[in-house]
Amino acid sequence: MSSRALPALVLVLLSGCPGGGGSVGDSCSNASDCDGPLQCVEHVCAPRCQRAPECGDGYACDADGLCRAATGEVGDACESEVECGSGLSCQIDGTTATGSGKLPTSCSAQYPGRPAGSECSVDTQCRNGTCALGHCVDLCTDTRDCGSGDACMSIPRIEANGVMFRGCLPARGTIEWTIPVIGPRSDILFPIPDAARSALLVFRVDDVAQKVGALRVDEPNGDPLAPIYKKPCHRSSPTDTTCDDVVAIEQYFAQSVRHLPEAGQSELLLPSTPSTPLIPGAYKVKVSSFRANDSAGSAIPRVTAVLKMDSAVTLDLHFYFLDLDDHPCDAAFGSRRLDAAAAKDATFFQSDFVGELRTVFSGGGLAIGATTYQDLTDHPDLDGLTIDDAGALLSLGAHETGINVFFVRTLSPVGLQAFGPNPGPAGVAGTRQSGVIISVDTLCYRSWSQLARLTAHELSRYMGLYHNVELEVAQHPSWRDPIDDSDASSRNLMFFSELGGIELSPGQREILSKSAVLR
Amino acid sequence: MRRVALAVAFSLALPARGEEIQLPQPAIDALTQIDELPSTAQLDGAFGDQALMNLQMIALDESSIDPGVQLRAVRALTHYCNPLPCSASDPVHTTLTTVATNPRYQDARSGSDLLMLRAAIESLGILRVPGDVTILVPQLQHASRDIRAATAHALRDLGNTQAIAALRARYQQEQVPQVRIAISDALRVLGQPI
Repeated sequence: MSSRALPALVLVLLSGCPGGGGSVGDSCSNASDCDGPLQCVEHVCAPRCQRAPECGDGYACDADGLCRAATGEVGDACESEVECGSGLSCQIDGTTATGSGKLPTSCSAQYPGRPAGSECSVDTQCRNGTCALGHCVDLCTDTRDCGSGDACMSIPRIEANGVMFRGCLPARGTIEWTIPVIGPRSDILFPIPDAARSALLVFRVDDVAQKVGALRVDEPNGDPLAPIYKKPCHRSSPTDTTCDDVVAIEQYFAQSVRHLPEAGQSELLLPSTPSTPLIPGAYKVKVSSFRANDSAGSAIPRVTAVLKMDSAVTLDLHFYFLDLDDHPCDAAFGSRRLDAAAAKDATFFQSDFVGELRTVFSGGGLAIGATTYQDLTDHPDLDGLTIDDAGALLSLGAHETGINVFFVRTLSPVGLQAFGPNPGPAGVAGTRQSGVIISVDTLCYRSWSQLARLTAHELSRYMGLYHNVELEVAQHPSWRDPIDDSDASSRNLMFFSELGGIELSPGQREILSKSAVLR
Repeated sequence: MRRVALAVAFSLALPARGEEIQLPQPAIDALTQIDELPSTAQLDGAFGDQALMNLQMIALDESSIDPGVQLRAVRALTHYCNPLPCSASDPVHTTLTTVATNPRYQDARSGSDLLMLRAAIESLGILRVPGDVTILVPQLQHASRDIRAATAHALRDLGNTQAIAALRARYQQEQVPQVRIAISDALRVLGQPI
């Protein structure tokens, strides 16, 4: 809080003087006119405040719950929105930090713009003059300065190359916004507030013949010679001696941040392991589209950022049923049609499948929350799914929270039991990767509880876990997940085989708990 | 019952009927992956230089192999016919035609036996042996919509225009949209769109 502004704050009224008798809404001239703990604000008895916006523009809410009028005038230094008088807002003045390491801020006239929390792309769209993470943000020094549901936290200022400032952002749920990209290969800054628990980038291009993703990622204030991610090499020709498939895979597994550009869409999730935690500040990401041969593409990537802001651990599941009529494995579901209505009531689904999912995820510290059921019987082209068409099916995933789970009749190639992104676009619905696909024909030779285990495996990949070990780990010891405490056991949930177990290490549980699909 | 162990170093003969095949753990691991199909390198790593023979043995077994393993083995056989199109006399092709024409699988109406037939049909499509039209076309009449759809896809992949008449005829009587779409797609690829 500004040293100039603080003494200027005026205590509107003393509080706690009993016996006035005025109720909420009654007129008053001071606190003694109001009943009990009420205060007198602008000549009206009002409850004590918890947040400054309850007091109105130009007021702070102090630690005693009293509204205090701000007296900051145009040009006065400030640190919080609540220090500036009515009609003014505390705004960032420049892009260079002062000697104290803070950005210069002062009271300035409000813009005719949107209130805090509204979507924005530039400062001037916001009434109070600050746009960050795609949303209008009020400057603050304390969470009491922020609206209900928001918290005061340190936020990187992109326009100032990541210098941190204090602003109000949602304390719960997720924050999602679009990061503009100007060309097929561009550097972007990815701002991470100090309260964020995980951060996800979703890269997309419309031309699915081109790949898209990150070329390189640098930590905030990181060593330019030591990025935390570099795209693995690509063999440019048969005579290329610098790269082959094994070298490329080794490079992928050697990094604590796991990511590969993919056709049409890919995701980059931070953190991939507890040993490389998320750092507040601006990550520098070089994003690119690629041709099939890995040369630079022509498509301009679209980048969506998603931050998980809380420690909520409830996983909602949204089940979609393609037309499973007359299915060859219908003995597993009572020789009747398996659809949304049947699944809601059937013991085999509720107990043997969803119940087993609850058991598996409770071991991971997660709770299964809401489950929804929907038929997709008007997509016969996707009933028996060829994996090349997975994007068309997953784009029907309409739920942003939780994970969309699609039950198809069959998956081709034969033998694939499940398919999904690793990780998936948490918090972003309707994309080519918005869900996981489970093939019901597995029920011809496996039980519902076994199907639940492999479904939990695929859901966990969506949430950011990787195979604890790959099949070739005996020949290539580094081909395993980046989590230090997960072992190579087949008892692990992330063992690549359908014959694995359901154990999770503490590190795996920590990564799971940070997924933005959780609420 | 005698037990025959499949192993990297010794698996030179197909087991006699009634013999139980014991798979080494690397083979089970390679053929039970949830979200990936085994690559040639993975199969070679699991079976050594006997991968083809071991996969044939697994595919042709009718008693002791886990269906999930067997399905993937049938599909994995296609890795071992190079180049494509496959020769009709190639052991991969003869193994897959043996599976696809096995009455146990052809007559199946449900369960994992039906999945085996679908696996063989899908794999024959990949091999692109033109003469397999005669094996595949009758499956357009199969009682299972999933087999009919898989057959239409296989005929599409086969690329033999001799399948067009049968596909058109089936399209006229087919009631299931999933299969009609598969046939329509096959006819489009074969140059005779509906």
